[in-house]
Amino acid sequence: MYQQEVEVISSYIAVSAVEVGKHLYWEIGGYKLHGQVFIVSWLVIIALLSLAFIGTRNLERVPKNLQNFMEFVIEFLQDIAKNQIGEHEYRSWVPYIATIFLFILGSNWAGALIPWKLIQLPEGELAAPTNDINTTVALSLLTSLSYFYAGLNKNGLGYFARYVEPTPVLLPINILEDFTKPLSLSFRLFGNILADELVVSVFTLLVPILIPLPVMILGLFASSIQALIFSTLSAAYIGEALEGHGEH
Amino acid sequence: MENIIRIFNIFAEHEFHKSLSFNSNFLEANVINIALLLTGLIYVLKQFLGSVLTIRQQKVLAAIQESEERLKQAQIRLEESEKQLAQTTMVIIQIKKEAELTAQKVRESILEQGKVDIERLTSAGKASIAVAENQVRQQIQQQITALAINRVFLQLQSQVTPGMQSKIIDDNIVKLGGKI
Repeated sequence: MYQQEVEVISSYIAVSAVEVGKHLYWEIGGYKLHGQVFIVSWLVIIALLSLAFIGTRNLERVPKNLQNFMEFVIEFLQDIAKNQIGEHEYRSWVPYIATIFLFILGSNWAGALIPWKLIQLPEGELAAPTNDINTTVALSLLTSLSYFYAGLNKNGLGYFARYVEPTPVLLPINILEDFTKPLSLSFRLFGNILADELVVSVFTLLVPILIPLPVMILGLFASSIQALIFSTLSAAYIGEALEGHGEH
Repeated sequence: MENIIRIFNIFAEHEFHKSLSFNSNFLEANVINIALLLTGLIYVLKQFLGSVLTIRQQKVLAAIQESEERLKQAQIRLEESEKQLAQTTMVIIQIKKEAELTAQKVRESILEQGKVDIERLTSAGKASIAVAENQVRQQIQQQITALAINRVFLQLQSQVTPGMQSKIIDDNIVKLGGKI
């Protein structure tokens, strides 16, 4: 009898502290954007840029604290790129791999370490931007684009000869790979981050003090591993596309 | 039913928020756990990263010092070899000068030799010419004396009788102071 009213009203009642699937919608030119993702992404970007800016003021020959740390980070990222892409061509891909790693790590850790719940939005809640499938799909499409660009840049149209190596029988599988690569990248990251967030919020809902801590620690660890995996896999795909003739 | 709907309305109006606001429910916002996690994380990271970073700094320092040492060494060697280069160029110049002098001397001595030889040859030539002249003069003199004697002989033969001949001989004996 009153089904409609009950449905309408029950949507206003916050019966749980978890708001999954609710987003802060911004409208631009007919498209709806997820505002909460943008807000946190911008904060992460600003933090990364200012760290980079501050870290590179007053560069000295013998590195002091912050410069030392930044150099350490750069060496770590260069290592990832060098191991996957190879000695000769890794240099130009270090910025991309580094940005992917730092952005994903930054957004995951920002989502886990900053008490976003203190700020209440009209709709939806602030959390890690990578818990939204749109973000992760965007990142993996970027990776797809970059390995295509790498392959085409190096080998021209001969890049498509890769599809019939080692045997032409594998052609359908190779074509399928072009779709599964971005799919797996995006879903892996999305699933990990969203699941961790959900588990933490459910635990917090049940027992607010101390018990969620192990899961939060696991979440931090897993999210950094995910950042590493995403960037390493991107580098591996780029390295694979750059392989070319006779370098197997 | 009315009451239930009214209760629902109260809840709705209480909970529904239309603007950005600050949620002061710390428990809900998980602040305690996050604070604990953050402190734990910072502590662990400081430990771990601290050691890694100091080791890295040391390595960088050592590498810089080593390369500076090598730079110094290389510079010293560069200076030394430059000095040696300067010395060798000087020696080269000296050798060149000496070579020129020796060449000059050799040239002059050869010229001298040449002159001496020329002198000798000319004097030898002159001497042989003189000898030949003498010989020829002697021969001519001989010829002339022979011709002169011949003529005298012919003249005497045609002019001198036996009487004149004995007279000439007697005159000569008287001149010699001898007595006949």
